[in-house]
Amino acid sequence: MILAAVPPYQMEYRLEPGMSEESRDIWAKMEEIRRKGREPISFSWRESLRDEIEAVLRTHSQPGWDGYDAEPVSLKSANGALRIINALPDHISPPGVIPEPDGEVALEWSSNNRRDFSISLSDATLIYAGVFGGSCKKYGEEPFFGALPSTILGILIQYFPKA
Amino acid sequence: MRYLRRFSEFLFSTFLRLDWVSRAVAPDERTSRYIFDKKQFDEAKRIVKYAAFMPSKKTGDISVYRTAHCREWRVWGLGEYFVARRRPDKVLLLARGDVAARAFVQQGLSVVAKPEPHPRHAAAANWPSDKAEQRIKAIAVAQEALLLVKPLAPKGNTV
Repeated sequence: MILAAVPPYQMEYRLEPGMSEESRDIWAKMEEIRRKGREPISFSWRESLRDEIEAVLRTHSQPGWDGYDAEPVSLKSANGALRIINALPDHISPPGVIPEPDGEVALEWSSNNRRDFSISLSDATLIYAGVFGGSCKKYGEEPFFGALPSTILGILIQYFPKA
Repeated sequence: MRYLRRFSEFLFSTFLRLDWVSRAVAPDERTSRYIFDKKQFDEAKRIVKYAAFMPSKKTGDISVYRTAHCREWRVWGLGEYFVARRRPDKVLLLARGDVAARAFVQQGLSVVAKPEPHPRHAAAANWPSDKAEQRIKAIAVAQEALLLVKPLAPKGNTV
C-alpha cells in the first residue's frame, strides 16, 4: 500500500499487490466516492438506490434477519426493485428501500404529514399500497411492462413531488 | 465473574416471568413490537416503518408484547430476555414500536393472548392473504405507532 500526500489536501491511494483486506476495502470506498463525484446530480439518487438495494440483498440474506421469521431477501425481488427504479420519473422525491419479512424488496415514500406509499414488483405484477393522511387509502395490483401505470404515477406526482 | 453474571441474568429473567395479565386483550392496552433491523425504523424522523408490522409468512401473524403498566426497564427486559436471547443468532434489540391494540382492531385484525414464552406475549392475527391489503393495514398501524429507540446500557448493565 502506498499513501502519497499530494498538495493541496489530496491523497493518492493506489491499489498495490499484497495490500491487506482492510486497505482494499478503503481503496474500493474511495474509488466509489470518486466515481459518484463525477456523476451528474440527476443520476445520483438512482445510483444510490441501486447501491442500497445491493446492500439490502447482502445484509438481509439470512433467514430471520428481522429477529423473527423473515425470509431471506431474494435476488428476484431485488431485481424487481431495480426495474421499478428504472421506470421512476425524475420529478418525484427519491424513495427509500425497505426489505419485507416475506423476502420482497419494496420502495417506499414517507412524508412528515402521514403520507406513506410503498410499491414492489412480484413476477410481472406491481403491488402498491398507500395511506395519505386519515382515511385516504389506495392499494392494489397492476401489471408491469417496464413503465409505471398511470394509477401509480398519479399517486407519486400528487403526493411525493420533488422538493 | 462470568458465572455470576449468568446467574444474575437467570434470576432477572425468572423475576420477569413472575407476571400476570388477563387473558382478554383490551383495546386500549399498549402493545410493543420489538425491532431488530435498522431498516424498520427511522430515528431521525421518529417513525416506525410499516415493514415492522408486516405479518410473518411462516406464522401468519406478528408477535407483540402487552406492555401496559410496565416500567421501561421491564419492557426492554421482555424484548431482551424473551425475544432476542431466545434466538441462536443473538440478534441485537434496537428499538420498539408501541401501539394500542385498538390500532390493529381498527384494521380488522385481532390481538390475541399467546402466553408462551411469557404471559405478556400476544399475536396480532387475522391478516388477509392479499399482499396489498396486508401492506395497507401495516402502514395504517405503523402510522399510529410510537418509536422508542433502545437506550445504550450503562457499563455492567446487561439489559
